[in-house]
Amino acid sequence: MNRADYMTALRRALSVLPEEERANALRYYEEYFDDAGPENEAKAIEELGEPAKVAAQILADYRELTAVPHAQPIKEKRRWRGISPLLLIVLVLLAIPIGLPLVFGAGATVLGVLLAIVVTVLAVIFAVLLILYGIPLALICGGAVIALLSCTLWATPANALVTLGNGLAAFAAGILLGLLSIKLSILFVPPVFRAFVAVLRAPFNWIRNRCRRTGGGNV
Amino acid sequence: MSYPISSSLLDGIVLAVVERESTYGYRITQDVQKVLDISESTLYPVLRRLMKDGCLTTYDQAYAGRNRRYYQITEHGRAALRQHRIDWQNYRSGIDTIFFGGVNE
Repeated sequence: MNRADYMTALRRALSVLPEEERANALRYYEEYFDDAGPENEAKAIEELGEPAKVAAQILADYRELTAVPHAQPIKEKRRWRGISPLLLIVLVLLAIPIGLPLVFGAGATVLGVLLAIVVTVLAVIFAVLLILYGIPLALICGGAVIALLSCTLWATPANALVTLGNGLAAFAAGILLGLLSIKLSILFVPPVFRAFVAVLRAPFNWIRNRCRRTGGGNV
Repeated sequence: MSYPISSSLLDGIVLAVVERESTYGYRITQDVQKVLDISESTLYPVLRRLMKDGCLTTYDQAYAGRNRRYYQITEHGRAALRQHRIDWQNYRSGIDTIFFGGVNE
């Protein structure tokens, strides 16, 4: 083996090293041969030993030097879901000077609107109730009164009988309608009531869903 | 009989050689070879390790139309060498006691 062969073998054996490392190592041995001089080439090769062995030592040493210490696992910082409370407090504090008057004005408007809505709804409910129960009630009461008043007409028995009949008929109709109203109420009031409650709850659910959506999906 | 040389002893030896005179790789090998048979180990990994630990630095000097890399010792290297000398004396006196009995203080 001559120097050129030796260096070729060494270069190949060190090919796994990064570019700079390999270049430094090869330079050392090129210089070694240079300093030994061509007359000492064979002796130098003998002194150095097999290129495979030399490369093995260099690689082992490199691996030892570049061993990465066990990396500290990065503690997963606990993500805060939703708005940070601190941020919320700061925002509220900042918002107070501007926000408060605004809130009052806006609040008054909102309250007014809400009030109007509530009153309207109540009026509607009242009207419905009136229709449902008022009419039967009226019929019942009216019918009973008419039937009783027919006694005053005893002078004209035909009239009295007709009036009594009308009164009793009205009375009966009232009772029937009343029963019908009660039946309808049983059927319709619970769902209507639930719908009413759901309408009231809707704004709060909307807010909660928005927070869940923006806070739940962590950036 | 040849005794295997531990890598830390080799570090100390190389540092001692470079401390006497800043020199180049081939020269270091020759100087060490005069007193010790180190054909089993090549000095390049030792030099590289000492450089990585900051005990040695290199500089290039022109010689015969090419650049020759010289190694020189640092302050840190001198301190390490002092420790190596102490360690060696302890080690040597221990072996001497076993081989020859009694140690001269």
